[in-house]
Amino acid sequence: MEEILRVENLKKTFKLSRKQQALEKTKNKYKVAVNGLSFSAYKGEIFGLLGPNGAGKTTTLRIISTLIRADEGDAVVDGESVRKNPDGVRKKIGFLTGELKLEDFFTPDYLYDYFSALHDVPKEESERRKAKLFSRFGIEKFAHVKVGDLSTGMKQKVSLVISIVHDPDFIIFDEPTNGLDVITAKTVTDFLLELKNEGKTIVISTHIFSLVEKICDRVGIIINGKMTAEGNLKEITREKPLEEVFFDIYSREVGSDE
Amino acid sequence: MNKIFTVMKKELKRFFTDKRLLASLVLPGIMIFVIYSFMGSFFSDMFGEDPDKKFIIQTINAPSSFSDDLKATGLNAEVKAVEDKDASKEEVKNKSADILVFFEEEFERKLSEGEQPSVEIWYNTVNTQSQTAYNAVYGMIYSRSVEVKTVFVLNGGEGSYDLATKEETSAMIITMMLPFILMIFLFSGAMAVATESIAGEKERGTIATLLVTPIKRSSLALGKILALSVTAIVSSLVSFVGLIASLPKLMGGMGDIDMGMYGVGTYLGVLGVIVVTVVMFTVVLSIISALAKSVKEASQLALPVMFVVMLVGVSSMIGSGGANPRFWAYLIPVYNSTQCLAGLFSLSFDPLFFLITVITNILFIALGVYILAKIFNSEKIIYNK
Ligand SMILES: Nc1ncnc2c1ncn2[C@@H]1O[C@H](COP(=O)(O)OP(=O)(O)OP(=O)(O)O)[C@@H](O)[C@H]1O
Ligand SMILES: [Mg+2]
Repeated sequence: MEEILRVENLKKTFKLSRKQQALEKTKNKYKVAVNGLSFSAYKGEIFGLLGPNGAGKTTTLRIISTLIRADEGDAVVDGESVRKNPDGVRKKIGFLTGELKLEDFFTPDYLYDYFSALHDVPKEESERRKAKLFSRFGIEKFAHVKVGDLSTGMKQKVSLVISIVHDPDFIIFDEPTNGLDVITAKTVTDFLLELKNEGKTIVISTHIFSLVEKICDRVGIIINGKMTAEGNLKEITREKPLEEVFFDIYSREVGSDE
Repeated sequence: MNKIFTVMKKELKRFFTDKRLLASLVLPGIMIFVIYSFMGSFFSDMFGEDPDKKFIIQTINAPSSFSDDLKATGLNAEVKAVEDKDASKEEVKNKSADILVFFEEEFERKLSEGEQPSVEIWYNTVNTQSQTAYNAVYGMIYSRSVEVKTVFVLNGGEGSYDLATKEETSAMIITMMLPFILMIFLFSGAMAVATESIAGEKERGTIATLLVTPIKRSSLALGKILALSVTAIVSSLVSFVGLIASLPKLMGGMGDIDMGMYGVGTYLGVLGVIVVTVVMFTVVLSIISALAKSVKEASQLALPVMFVVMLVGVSSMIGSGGANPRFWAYLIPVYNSTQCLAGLFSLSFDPLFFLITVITNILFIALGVYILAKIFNSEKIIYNK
């Protein structure tokens, strides 16, 4: 199996502001969000990063997508290191999360063209791809409606489409179904499976067991910034359902910490 | 390079197709025009002058020839001998008389005997008629003193013979303050555009979407700065036009302000100063916007900067009082721009200082763009909750 993503010993510590200290109910000035995390994702699979709130999933995915820098360790995407060549990584990945927003003022059509241009997609190819994706997600009707006037579900679909204008082979998706109704959520998960069938590699983060069980090939369980288990979903769930496996690990990890 | 323009085009589209934003750009200019025109008609009621009016000149102890001598100068004046000096001064002050010419007692006799008698001319600078009459009479008496080859003392006492009141003088200072007012408008124009820009994108989470694309951080920063600058320049030009258009009305009551007296060169100079200053403001405010966690914080941080701008602007107007400031002062932004504008408006333009001003501002802009690109390269630009 071809390794598309290799994450090696990632570490990230945040300095907490006073407000954050109050919010997290801690007196510590620093928060170790990711603590020596390693895992790999292979070509053509969907990898699920499963963990509770605050486990460090988003931080990990932000490091891989070059939005923030790790204090230690590295992530290599298809041969490009986020540390040494972040621009190279950006060309290869599509990154999506609910918190990546589109500007309300513009239309999906305009934004598609804009991001296509930023990704250096040739005009003709961009038009062809736009037509295909807009039709796939039923965006055509709303192509010239300002993003601000779209429903949450439609916004999410437009974001999804715009994050893959450049047809990346590696896609990162932080909490893909968060805040979506069941219908839109299904559209999104169906599409992820479609992409997988096209041979794309996908890494998602979630705290929803059923989502992992439904679409992931392999899973990594992340707790307190550490990878506590990583493996084939079928192998991991051979003896117990995923939820029970998770709680076993969780009580062992958190118990040993305190 | 290409990407810079892609970003710039999009930002400009945002500004120039959104009616609300567009309105906020041109509104200050329109407001200046309306407010100043209104203020102008108020002023002209206060100090209005009638071109056909005769000059009213009051005299005390005037030699018999005074009236005829004055006529010879061509001044359309009504000369009236009065008794009470203080009462007459009061009339000059409240403009029912234009000037008072006060001759020492037995002026002619003292003059012929080789003494040095004195003449006092009391006038009022706020009254243009008074100013004109003063100049004419002063000139006439002065040339007479040269003629008779006898020195006599003309307005030789201590203190000023100007009877203008404090409030009226302050109205005149407005003329001096114009560059400063313009500076404030330029800053608020840039503030309206730039403060919201980056902090707003951060707050709404749209900047991260951009940062996962392979566009260079410096291109993104430059594209934004260019678009913001163009927008801020348009906004300030509207303000400037509003100011210029309302100026004759504003100053109408206090003398002839004819904006036509400035040549193309002056206007180009003013334009140059405006452009570099606005871009400099835009860059500074963009940096603030990039460092702030929210639009609200950005505006809060911009306020003290506005204060500094006002302070420097004021000190440049008051401190020098029109005298040529020292060389290094032209290296201080805002101070140099204000001085340059004042120089241009008062037609005492110094090309060297103009050049220094423009170059200094450009250097500040370059430094600012460099800092902004650095910020775009750091995590601060995305998350610092
Ligand atoms: N910019 C930041 N500054 C300070 N602390 C941060 C920052 N980003 C994340 N953290 C902290 O790091 C820890 C890990 O956060 P992260 O968002 O990666 O968790 P997560 O697994 O995505 O959780 P969730 O399920 O809630 O999304 C949390 O305690 C969070 O508060
Ligand atoms: Mg998260």
